[in-house]
Amino acid sequence: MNCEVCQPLLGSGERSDAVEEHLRACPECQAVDRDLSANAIALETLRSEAMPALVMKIPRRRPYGWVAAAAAAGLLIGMLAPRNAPPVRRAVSSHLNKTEPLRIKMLTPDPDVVIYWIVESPQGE
Amino acid sequence: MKPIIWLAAAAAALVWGQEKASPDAAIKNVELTVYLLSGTQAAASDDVPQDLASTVKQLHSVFSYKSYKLSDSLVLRGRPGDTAGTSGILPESGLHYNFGYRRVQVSGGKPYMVHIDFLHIALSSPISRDGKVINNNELASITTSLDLAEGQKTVVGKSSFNNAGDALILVIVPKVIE
Repeated sequence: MNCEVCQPLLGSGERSDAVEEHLRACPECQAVDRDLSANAIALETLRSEAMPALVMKIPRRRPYGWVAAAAAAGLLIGMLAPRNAPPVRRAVSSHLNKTEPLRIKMLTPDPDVVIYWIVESPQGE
Repeated sequence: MKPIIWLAAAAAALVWGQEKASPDAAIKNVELTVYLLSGTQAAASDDVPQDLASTVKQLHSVFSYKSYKLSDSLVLRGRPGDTAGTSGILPESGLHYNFGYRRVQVSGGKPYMVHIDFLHIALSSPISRDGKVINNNELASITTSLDLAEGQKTVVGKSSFNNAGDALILVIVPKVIE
């Protein structure tokens, strides 16, 4: 038996005659055996130790306070918002309704000229 | 109860004051100058007024139409929030057209932004019987909503509106009249 065979056997806890015979002659495997034994003893002591009780304080929340604040802010903004703000346009995506024409906007080198080109969808698609 | 009434009255007064102070209240009319053009594959020189020379130059750089020709022009004036429309007959082709929009709004400061909802133009050929027009056969139409800057020339068009593959083009120039 050599160390490459003996050490995995020691890790799995096997103590055959061949392993014992190799241990008697090999100081390196003896050191591995001592480390494995110390780890096993340490794990045993931890198993019996009581874990401390964890106490977590969850802060109480007032779930509706922010809702009321948002509603009041929205009411205030609605009253104070300038009337000359541009109208909000709902974007209509042409891919949702294939019968709607596609509108392509093109900017030109002339800043005074803007082109909108309407592309009709082919019938039946 | 009384504080609530006073608060509501103050809010109403604030809203009323803002409406009075808004540019929309001071603006009386929105005037649209609309040029109806056709783009054609026929090799010819452009037949457009000098005002549209720069616009047609841009069209030549974008599209492959060989020439552009002015079919007609119109001026439509309306009040913000109202519907407006007009109709006519194209001089050369005799086609009827209907042009209009559902609503126009103005926003911002000078130069204003003009928002047109459901701008629509339709070309049709009349169907006559016994010398009377009984119906119109729609040949082409454009319906769209637009945001235009005052003084800017906005081109709206579509290709192949007739059998020759010509393009129907509108050049719209808005003006806000206070």
